Amino acid sequence: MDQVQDSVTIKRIENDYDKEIVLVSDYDNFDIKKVPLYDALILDFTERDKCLKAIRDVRGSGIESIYLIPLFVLSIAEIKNQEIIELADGVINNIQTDSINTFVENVKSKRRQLKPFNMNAEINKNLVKMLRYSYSRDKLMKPVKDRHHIIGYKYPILSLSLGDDNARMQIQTVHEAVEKEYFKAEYVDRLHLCGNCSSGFLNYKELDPETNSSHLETENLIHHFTCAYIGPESDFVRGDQYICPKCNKTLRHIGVDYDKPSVMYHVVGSDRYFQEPVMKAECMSCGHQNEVEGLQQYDVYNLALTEEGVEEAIQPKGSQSVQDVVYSGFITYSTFGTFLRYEIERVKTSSRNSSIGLIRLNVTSKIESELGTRYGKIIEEISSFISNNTDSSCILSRSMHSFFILFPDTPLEKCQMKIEKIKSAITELLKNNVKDQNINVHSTVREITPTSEYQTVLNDLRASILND
Amino acid sequence: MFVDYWEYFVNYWFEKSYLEIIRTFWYFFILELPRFLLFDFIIVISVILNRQNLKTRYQKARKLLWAEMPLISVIVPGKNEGKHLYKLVNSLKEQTYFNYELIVVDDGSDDETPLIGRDLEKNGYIDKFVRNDVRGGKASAANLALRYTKGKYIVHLDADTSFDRDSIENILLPFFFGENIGAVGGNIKVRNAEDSFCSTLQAIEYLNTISMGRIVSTELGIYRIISGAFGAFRTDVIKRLGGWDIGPGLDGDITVKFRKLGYKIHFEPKAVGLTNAPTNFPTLSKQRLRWSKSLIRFRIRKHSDIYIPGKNFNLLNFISFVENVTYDVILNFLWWFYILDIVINNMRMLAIVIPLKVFMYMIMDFVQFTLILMISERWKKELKLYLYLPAMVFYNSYYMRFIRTMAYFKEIFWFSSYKDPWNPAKTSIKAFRNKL
Repeated sequence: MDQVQDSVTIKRIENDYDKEIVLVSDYDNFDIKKVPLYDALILDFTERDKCLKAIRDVRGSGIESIYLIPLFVLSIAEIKNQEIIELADGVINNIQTDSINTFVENVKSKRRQLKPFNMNAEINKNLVKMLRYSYSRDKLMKPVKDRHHIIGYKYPILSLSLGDDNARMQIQTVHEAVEKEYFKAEYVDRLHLCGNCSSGFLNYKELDPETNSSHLETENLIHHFTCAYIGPESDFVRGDQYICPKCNKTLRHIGVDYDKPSVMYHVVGSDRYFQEPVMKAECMSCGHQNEVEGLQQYDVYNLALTEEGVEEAIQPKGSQSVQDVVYSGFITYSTFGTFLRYEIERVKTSSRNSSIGLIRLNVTSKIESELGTRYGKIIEEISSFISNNTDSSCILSRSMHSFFILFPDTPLEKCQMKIEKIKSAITELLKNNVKDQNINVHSTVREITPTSEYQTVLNDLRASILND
Repeated sequence: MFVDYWEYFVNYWFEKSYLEIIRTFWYFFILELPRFLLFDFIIVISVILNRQNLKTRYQKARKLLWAEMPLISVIVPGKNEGKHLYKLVNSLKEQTYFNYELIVVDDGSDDETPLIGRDLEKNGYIDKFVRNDVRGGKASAANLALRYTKGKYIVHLDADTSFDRDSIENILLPFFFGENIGAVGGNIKVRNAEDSFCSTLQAIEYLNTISMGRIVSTELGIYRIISGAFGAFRTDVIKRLGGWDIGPGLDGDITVKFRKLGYKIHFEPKAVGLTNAPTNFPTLSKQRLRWSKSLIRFRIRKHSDIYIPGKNFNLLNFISFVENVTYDVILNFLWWFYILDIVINNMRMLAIVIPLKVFMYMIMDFVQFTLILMISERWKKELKLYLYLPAMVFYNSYYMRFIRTMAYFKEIFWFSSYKDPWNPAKTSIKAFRNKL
């Protein structure tokens, strides 16, 4: 039996597995921010355009707990749209939770293995997304033909992040994935793209090599055997007959009276004639006139995840590039992310609020190098101060010049006060210890809600400080 | 023994009366000496004496040419001529007259000509490269070029011809003499004279028949063949004529058609083009058989109306044809009779008469060649050809006469020019049926 959850049209599906599986029928009231609250979505395909938009919104999200959610499409009719087939985890024709439970459980289990990573690290986040998507459901990444996409083929999960116009990034991401052997490439098709912008939307046309005009017409040349006159067909046409303009004889029989030895091109509206037009491919996206030989050749592949790809999906290399130095009472940044994720899960099931705060020292690399070993001692002192002045339930982490503090069961206002206190103390400490340098201290706080996504929360904290 | 023979040889002149000598060598003294030496001598003297006037005439024409500086169309029809094209365009690039468009027609080549031609066109060396995938013959190739020309004058070239730097300029000058000149023939010389004995003899022959022979015929107003290797035509006239008709011998044919329309034809000795002559006698024989057959086909059959008085009758055209047919056809047959006459009437003296005959022709060749060098622009280079002059008597009097006789028989009785593979069969059949 269906049970109303959020609105009259978002319905929780009763199931024996204690899973939050919901059926979405009215897309106008579908709030994507609430997706992390569910274990799986079933989208009604009755309103196909809205359904497709919802699928795109979910899979296009940058938030892992949204884009990795198991998603099924409910449709009695067969769905031929390849994009939907690629983006959905299956098409079902009735609401049978048994059939999807195993899949949902598998995805959940694999998601648990995924390590949080620093979104500021110099890694290709779109690639990580593709890897994680592929890994979480053992999915072969198939390119889908799409005339709206700039190269004509897209990997839907990638395209949703990059947009249909970003050929370069798609090519680069897939190239990187194959080059680093995260995916095994299986040839599907070969494309020829604009050498300037990589668009596949090309207009092949014959041009006059001299004037570059494409306004051309072709005419057969006719050679009259008897008098050796040769000229374009129009020279001979008189009504429905061919009459030789030189000797006025009627040409009756091809091969006996005349032949057509070649073709002549004519630039309409001029007296320019030629035989060998140049073939160019004009890019309809950027207008570049490509020589056909200069077109970029691009092979499209099915991408099958490799063992290296699995490793990268779980823990992207380079995501640890921000140095994690562990002080007493502090945990690594990646562990902090895991804690934050669990805390969000906890908030979902409890009615309590938690908060998170960030304190950041505005230290340039120049200041850091001038301070030398002194800076390490200052950081140690600050870490010690924070550790001693926060509750034992608080979870602490440090990354470079930033200190993250997770306040479980703490409302935002209280968290704000605590953070401000710590910030004042640190400012004072710096004033006393580093008189010769001007180091500003910034802080910010965020509330953790059931709809929060850990990566977004961390990024949001960092972004608000950087914009401060 | 040699001394005895020599005495006998010399004494022959003194022992025989003038009349007896003329009776024996009547062909030489009555027919050939006046035509080939007397006319040459008169014309050379006239050219030398008239140099100042000619200079002024050319200067005026040059001024007019450069004042107008018309666009001219250089057309090069041919098959499998790709290997010559790069040299040709380079030769043309060096020309003092530069306002030209170059149109090359590839008449169904089966070698790399299309690739070479397209490449040269792409790189701007050729203005228009037109290819017929199916071979149509030289006339249709030239007509195809003609169809797309824009120039006021057309210069028709063979791809293997190269030019002195001022050749194009010089070939255009006669159009500015103000004498209703419709077409101008260039002065073709042999480039590969040193390649073989055969080509050396042709170098002398070209100087004789083209450089000198055509100066004479143009001065007499009976010049009748503009070589396909290098000739210039007024575009309006040639288009009015519908271009070239089916060959072989289309260059002579087009010249006659110009003459029939009342236009003067001029030979320009200063417009020098160099071409490669056949380097062996079998190839040369084939070429000359073709040339000689065309004389029967065009001068006697196709343009027979020239001989018939009527409203379009033109005395100079008549003389031109009569002179051509007389010296090249009639006297050619008569020569065999002459040889027979010598043999029959001088049976006991043959050992003296034949060498004497050869000796006289040699003397004539030496004098004639000296006259040629007197007006040649590259006489120093041509001096060494003197060494080969003794062979010319055998080349002209025996070899060439034999080839010509064979060609005339073949054409008169078997119409063999219509079977010449030089032209595609599909067009030759039509030409034969239409008596073209």
